[in-house]
Amino acid sequence: MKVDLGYAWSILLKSWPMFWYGIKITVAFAVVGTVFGFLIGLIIGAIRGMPVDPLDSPFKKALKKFGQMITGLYIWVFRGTPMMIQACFIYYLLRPIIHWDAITAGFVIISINTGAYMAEILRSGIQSVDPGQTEAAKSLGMTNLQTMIHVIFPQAIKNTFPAIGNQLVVNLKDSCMMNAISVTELFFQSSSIAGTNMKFVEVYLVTAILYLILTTLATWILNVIERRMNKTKTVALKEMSA
Amino acid sequence: MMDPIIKVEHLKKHFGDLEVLDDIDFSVNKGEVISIIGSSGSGKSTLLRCINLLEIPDGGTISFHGKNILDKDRNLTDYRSKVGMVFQSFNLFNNKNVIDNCIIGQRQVLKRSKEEARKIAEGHLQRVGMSNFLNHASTKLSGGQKQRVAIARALSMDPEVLLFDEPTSALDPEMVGEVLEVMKDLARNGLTMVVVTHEMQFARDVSDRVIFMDKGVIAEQGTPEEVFENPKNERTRQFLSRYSSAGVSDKN
Repeated sequence: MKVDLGYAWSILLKSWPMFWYGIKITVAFAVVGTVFGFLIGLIIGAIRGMPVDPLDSPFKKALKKFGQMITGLYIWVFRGTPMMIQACFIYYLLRPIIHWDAITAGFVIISINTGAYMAEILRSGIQSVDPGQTEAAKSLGMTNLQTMIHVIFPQAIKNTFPAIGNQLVVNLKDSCMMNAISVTELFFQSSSIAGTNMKFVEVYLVTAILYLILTTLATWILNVIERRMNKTKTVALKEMSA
Repeated sequence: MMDPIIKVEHLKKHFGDLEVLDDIDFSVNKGEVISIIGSSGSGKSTLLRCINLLEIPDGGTISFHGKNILDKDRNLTDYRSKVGMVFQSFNLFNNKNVIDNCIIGQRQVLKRSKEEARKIAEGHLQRVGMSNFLNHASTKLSGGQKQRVAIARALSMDPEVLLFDEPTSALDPEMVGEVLEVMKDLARNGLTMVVVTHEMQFARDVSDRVIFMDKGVIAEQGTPEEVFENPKNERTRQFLSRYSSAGVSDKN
């Protein structure tokens, strides 16, 4: 068993256009999945995190309960099954009806899947916001929706930013499952390169290093953003302890 | 006599088996300053929170200009914008700076223009002595500063009545004075106020009427002179003697 590092380097150079194409698709999947997953998570998280207001009409209460049930089912199913199976099932199920290509299907599925995780992250973030914030907004006459948008969401997102950002890293890696429906992301491209050259160890070593570079870069960017967001907070704490 | 702004009748509230408010009747007239005193657990904060519907009463009526706000067809956001609230724990919006705390309600609820809302907010922040802090993060202020901003935020909505829920109880002693000064200024200028407080000196000097609550009922009410100098109820006497032995009434 020997790994030929020289060969690994030469195949990286030789097949760079294919690798590069795969990298672009993988990054696109991670970014789209995280952004749309975040938006889905906000909506679902709001439905699940919104306290039942005793002033609501019976109809509104029933509607909220129904919303809780549906969103609970969604989270249960999409967190409880592998994304690869979700991809295959949904892609082939809907293909005869809406005639979509694999990339479109992939974008939709990774967004829905990420949405289920984001919903749970944001729900906990919403619940971690001091109830006094909601009371103050109510006492001014703000509606539930206005309170969510202007007071609760900004704080919930800030509180859970590390977990939200982590989904980007997870998606960089997990998008490889989309090879099951022949999306030409990085892993799919690597398999093709490995197959044509009959060099598996070297090619997958290159692939692993490329993934590592992507996730490291993403982590670094997220850390920079997080530090910026927390700047005001740290100053406040310093002044208080001084 | 004018019709009261707020009229509470037969108000009841319980948490589980605990009867917190039992058949409360009282009204708030325009320009009046009412202090509600009583020991912890007597139901005074719950009464205040019921008036703003942060707690939902189990029975009775709360009328605002003669209209029961517990009716199904009430306009809750409209009512709440006219009856402001200042909280014990300030509850400034952590994600907003000082001026934006005072603008958000005006923009969202009263639909005022940006310029108008800003001008009004600046006016009230100046009144509470916080005009040098307009762009400060609300989380960076001291307790007394936070509470003064919270008062400015409530005033920015032009409320007809302002409810204060133990506004100085969470403050360090040296900051109590600055908040009470602001409240005295508001009272002098004719703002209608209902203040739940442990500051007996304030209740005595500033109120038009004092309500003493005990075990979920209004045990006694009257002018500050009546309640403080000549309490009729035994429980009121006991309660006040604890404060006078702490030296509060000696100052007078």
